[in-house]
Amino acid sequence: MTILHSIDELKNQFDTDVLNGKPDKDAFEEIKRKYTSRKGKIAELFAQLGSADPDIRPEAGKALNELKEYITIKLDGLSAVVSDNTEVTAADQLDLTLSGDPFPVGSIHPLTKVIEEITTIFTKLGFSLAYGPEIDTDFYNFEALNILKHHPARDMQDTFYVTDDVVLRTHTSNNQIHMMENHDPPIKVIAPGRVYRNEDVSVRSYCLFHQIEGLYVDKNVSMADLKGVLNYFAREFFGKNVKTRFRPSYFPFTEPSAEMDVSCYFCSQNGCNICKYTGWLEILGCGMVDPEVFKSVGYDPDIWSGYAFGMGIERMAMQRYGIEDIRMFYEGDIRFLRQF
Amino acid sequence: MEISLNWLKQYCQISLPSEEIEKGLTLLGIECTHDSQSLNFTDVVLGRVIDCNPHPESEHLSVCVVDMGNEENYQIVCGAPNVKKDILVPVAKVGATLSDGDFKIKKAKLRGVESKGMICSGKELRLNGDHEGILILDTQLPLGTSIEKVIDFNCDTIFHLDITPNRGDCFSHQGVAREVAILENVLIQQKQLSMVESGLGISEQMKIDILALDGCPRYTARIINGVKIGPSPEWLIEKLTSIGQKSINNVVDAANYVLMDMGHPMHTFDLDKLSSKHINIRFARENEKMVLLDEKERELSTDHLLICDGDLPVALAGIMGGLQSGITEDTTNILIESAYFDPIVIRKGAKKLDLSTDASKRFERDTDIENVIPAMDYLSQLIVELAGGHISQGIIDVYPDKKPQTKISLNLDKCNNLLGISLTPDELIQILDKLSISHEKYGVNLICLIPTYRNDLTREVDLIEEVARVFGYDNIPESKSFSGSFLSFIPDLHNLDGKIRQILSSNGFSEHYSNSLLLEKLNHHFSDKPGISLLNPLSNEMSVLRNSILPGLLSAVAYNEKRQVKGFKLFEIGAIHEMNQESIRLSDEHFYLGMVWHAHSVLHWRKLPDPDLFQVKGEILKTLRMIGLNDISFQSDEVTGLSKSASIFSRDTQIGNFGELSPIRKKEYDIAGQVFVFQANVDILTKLIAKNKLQYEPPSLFPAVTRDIAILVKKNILSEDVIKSIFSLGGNLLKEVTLFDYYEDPSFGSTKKSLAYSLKFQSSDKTLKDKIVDKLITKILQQLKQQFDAIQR
Ligand SMILES: [Zn+2]
Repeated sequence: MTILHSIDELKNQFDTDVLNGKPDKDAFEEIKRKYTSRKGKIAELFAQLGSADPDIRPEAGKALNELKEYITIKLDGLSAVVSDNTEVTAADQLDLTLSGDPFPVGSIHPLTKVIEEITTIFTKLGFSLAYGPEIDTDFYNFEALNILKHHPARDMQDTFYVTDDVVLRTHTSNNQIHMMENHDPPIKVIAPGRVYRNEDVSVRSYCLFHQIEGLYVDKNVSMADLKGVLNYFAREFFGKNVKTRFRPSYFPFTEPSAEMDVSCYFCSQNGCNICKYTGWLEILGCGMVDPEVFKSVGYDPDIWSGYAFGMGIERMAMQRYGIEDIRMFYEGDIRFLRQF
Repeated sequence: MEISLNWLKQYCQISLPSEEIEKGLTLLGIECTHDSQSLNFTDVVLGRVIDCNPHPESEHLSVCVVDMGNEENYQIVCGAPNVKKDILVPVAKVGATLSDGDFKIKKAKLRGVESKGMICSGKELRLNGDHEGILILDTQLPLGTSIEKVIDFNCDTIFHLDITPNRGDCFSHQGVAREVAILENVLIQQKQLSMVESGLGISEQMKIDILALDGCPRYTARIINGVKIGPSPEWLIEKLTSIGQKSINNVVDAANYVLMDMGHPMHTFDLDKLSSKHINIRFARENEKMVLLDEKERELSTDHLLICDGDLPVALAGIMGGLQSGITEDTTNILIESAYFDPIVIRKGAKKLDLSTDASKRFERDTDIENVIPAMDYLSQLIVELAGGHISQGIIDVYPDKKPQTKISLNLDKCNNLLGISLTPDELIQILDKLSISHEKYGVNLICLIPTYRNDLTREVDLIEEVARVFGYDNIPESKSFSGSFLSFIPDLHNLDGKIRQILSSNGFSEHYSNSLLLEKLNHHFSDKPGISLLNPLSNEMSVLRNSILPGLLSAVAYNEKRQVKGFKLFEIGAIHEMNQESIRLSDEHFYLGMVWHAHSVLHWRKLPDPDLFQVKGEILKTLRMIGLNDISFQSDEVTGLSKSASIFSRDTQIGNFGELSPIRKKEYDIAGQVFVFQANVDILTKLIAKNKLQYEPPSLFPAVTRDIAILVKKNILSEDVIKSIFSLGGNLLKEVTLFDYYEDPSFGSTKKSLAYSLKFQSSDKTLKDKIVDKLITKILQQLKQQFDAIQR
């Protein structure tokens, strides 16, 4: 038997060994040792090469090298499969159902969420965002907004006083005055913020709440513009199928004044507890800026017109999330907060 | 305000169903709901008593046989004295209900005699108060007809109105009828009076002087002699109770009725108790006292307007009558006062006494100065009808300066432009007619004459709102486009809040909104700046505005701890207020960020490290870097309310502080666990970030060289100072210094500690040679030795 024979035979033997299905790790190591180790079959044949017939030695040398390469490549390929196998085995040992390190989930307050949602809608329409002071003078909170002293309109808002002339703002409408005082028209701005009312704390009312005020002043602004913007807002916020209704109301700082209702989305206007069986939810107050307000900030009401609107955030958040007790917003109960 | 539908029908024909009126009034700006009264019974039919015999066992009962139109006749036992053969009666069949379903008619035996049904009285059907006998009917309708088809029960509907402060004119049935008339497209009927005057002239019995014309521009009076005070008739009691008013006696009820009907508050005096026969209207003197009808003595001020008998106060004008001169059972002669009082005067006076009455509410919202006499005449007529007597000849009408009727010029284009509609002149005129506003053309404008009851209409824009109201807000189109000027943009403030909220909520913090009204004591916990106190707090617990963001957060910590929630993090961003006498608002407002950690070891199989101040510090640093602040340093500092605390700086500006809540504060907030807090002024952060210009630096192409040094220093040496010293020598090449080991060991002695730093050097233009780095390290160690007495380990 020539060495060439032996080489052929070894190849067949290797193929048989390897073809025996996918070897497990131990079998693979065994095959590797058998053929490629220093005392393995290949090394054995290389050793025999020296004593081989010189005529066939170059041919045998080439064949042996080819076989070595063949085996190496085969084994490399196999090692990938085998090491995959190995990993599966290891994974069986590592219990990945064990809990991962805790990274507790935080949360953004529901009132923030509603405020952001609303401000996003209006900023898309080009409204800027501004803030005004929570403590303000009677002038900014009342007088400049045409809410005159000794007028029953003052009863609409129970007020906290710091002094006779300084109050906790009862609405974000004070921002209207600050904005117009500090900027020349045109103005297009929304102002969210905290407001205070001297009302007993209960399930439905709290001594403070949050509002978003909107103000647009320009030339030739009409009530149709107001309806256009607020209807757009309602469709964005409540969904495109929402219906709105505008009805006359009274605010000393707007004329005409209106209240906007949206169709109750809890009962599809069939009547429910939340809409008090009217089919409508009261959402915001609005109107055309009263000429007296323009006069108080030095705008000429014959040149400028505009609209203003204001909405209560708590009420919208309560409706949106089905929260029944307004006090939940201010308790800081983690079990409440983490749901948002 | 409660309004009765049947009452409204006295003023105009109403064909709309109550639902439509409710909706219509709401869309006219008068928020409205309604309750329809319905029949209180079911299954009551017309029957004929065809036989009636005495009950064998009882004198008071009769045994009747009733024909209800079907084949069978029914035996019914009846206790009414007026039951007899051959009368038509209402019969409640077996199975019928009475009293709104509370009472169900069943087959029964009365004193041994079977009874199948009940013959009803007027009271049982809520038709009238008659309970003495059964109701005997007269009709041609067939037997068995439902009784509601035989008798008109005239069920009323009560509207509950929420009237805005500008619409004082709607505080009466007449006023509401005017609005309903707009819906019905009719005009209201005016009252027809048939008042007869007789006897003595009024001016022979009374003299009236107004000494305070600014408070009382008009005062009128009538006198009725010879009345007899007694109970009111049924119809009046029913009318008043239907809108929630109590009946007192015929004269008082009459005045109340006319108030609810015509809206003008009037007062009735017992004429015989006005001894001076001279009424003076004047302002009260400071501290003048009088006892009002509610039997309480009130101390008055010069804001109060008084009706005086001579100089003796007999009524607090427009608010409440005096006890002394009021109507009693013995009253026979009456003086009726019908006056117009200034709304502001009445409001000031009522506010001062914290007194709000049906009268003051209406005067405050302004009344119709031209309505005083019609209302008084109607009241006079009604009193005579109810209580007898006769009306003295003439009236006293003190009205020196007649109020001119308001005229407003209305421009159609202006109206259309403001509303975004396109009314034609004819359509505008139709609307004005509906509002009873008369008008005449004057150039391109209409001169409109405003009815005297609409005191709220004084300007063109008010009239435009009226037009819009009647036109219907829902009929105003909605603009489909939106245009604006770049000039209308105003720089946004506080963009930072949203970013902070995102960062913190992504890192396990829950956002909290706390009550910014606090117990006064809490304003001393974390700040020594004086806070803002309220003049009229709701309670002691909410008497000041917070001067720190922390108390609210800590209250929430305590709240959660009490509910077995442990190991959580909260934050809040909100305004705090500090007193500033210089400011017109007496206060400075700052936005603050507060963060709290309720530390609690985490129960976890990996045995995670317990949260501590260094974890907190790391979290703060990360947050500040995320919002764009890089040069942050910490300085140990004493902070009010905290133990182990440090101030935090960006360059030289202090932005806030952090630390562990002191044991005293923990006790005060009733918190058991360990709590760490951080607070920062968001206004300052905003300014710093605006200044912070980011500059890109390309990463070095050359390898970095790292060297570690370990030194032994006294414990009072601050690591931060050591790092500063290292950097001062490291020059441009030193990129990072990291403290990687801190060690205290008895072998160092009790005053020493070991600090080990890893220093990273890198050049941007060449590969650093070891030699250069070694040189720097030597210099650094020398300096540390000099500066801190540091021994290299
Ligand atoms: Zn509903």
